[in-house]
Amino acid sequence: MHEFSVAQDVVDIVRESASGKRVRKISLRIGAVSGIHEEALLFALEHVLKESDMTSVTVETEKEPVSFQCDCGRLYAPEGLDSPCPQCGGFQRRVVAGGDLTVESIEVLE
Amino acid sequence: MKREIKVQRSARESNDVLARRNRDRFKESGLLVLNMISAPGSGKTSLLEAMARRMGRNLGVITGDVQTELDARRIRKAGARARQIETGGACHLTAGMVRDALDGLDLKGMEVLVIENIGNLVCPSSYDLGEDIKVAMLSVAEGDEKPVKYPDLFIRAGAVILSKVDLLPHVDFDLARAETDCRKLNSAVQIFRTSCRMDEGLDAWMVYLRELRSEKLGR
Repeated sequence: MHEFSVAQDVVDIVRESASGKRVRKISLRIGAVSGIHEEALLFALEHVLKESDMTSVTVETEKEPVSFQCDCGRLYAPEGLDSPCPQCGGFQRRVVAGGDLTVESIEVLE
Repeated sequence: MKREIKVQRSARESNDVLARRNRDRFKESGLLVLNMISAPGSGKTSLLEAMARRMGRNLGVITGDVQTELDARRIRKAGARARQIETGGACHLTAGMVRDALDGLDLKGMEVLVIENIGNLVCPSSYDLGEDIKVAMLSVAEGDEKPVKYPDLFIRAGAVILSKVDLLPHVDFDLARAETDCRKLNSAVQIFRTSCRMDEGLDAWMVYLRELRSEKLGR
């Protein structure tokens, strides 16, 4: 399952960022077109964290909406993925936000 | 005492580093690289065989499948160079798997490399392999609602291939609807209608690839 390898990547980043300190909380931002299923990711994280000897860690998630950059220059958050650019009515755009899964911050005990 | 540490790192950064390295290597070799994504059974391997018959060893293929060398063998038999990645249970290829597969492939004289991703419309679309464009393939036997149902792929695809069009008289597939939906997700997309059985649409596809490669090499 896809989310297990993603969970492993998240835990690697967390471990590196914590530099040996005890991790209490992980805050993640999940993009709306990141291809990540939140429930599956949380399930996978629970196991990967346990295997990495990180217990009693709270995982907090926040959704990141999609942002498009239109060819006309306009940056916009579409109502739906098939909504046109509000400025020029076009559909020529690329995803500038919402395509990623980000480890925003962690909380450690000192 | 509790302390918050700002991290702000992408979970895909390790993949993206390797993808950038692949991209540099492809550029050095003068290769046009396609990341081909579709559901199982859409006809990817048949298209690759047809391409192999036209391009011979100028075509290279990295094909990802859960098990077996079947696809790579089919493609080699048609004349191209091919390397199979056996992915075990993985549902998408990563830049690292592609890097490893490159070691078993002679890139000299190769013009186009197609990375045939694992048959799945979801996660392959969010992993950069170092390709120039993603190609989404959809057979008319699958139904015309795929672009709307799997927008993550179709907003990122540079080209869409509607395959098996010889089946159109027998299936309820609205070509115009599928194409309009694709363009609504990304109006820059290039759409091709193909049938490998009837040898339809393949010439236009080959011309497009030649143009893309010339553009990349700045010729």
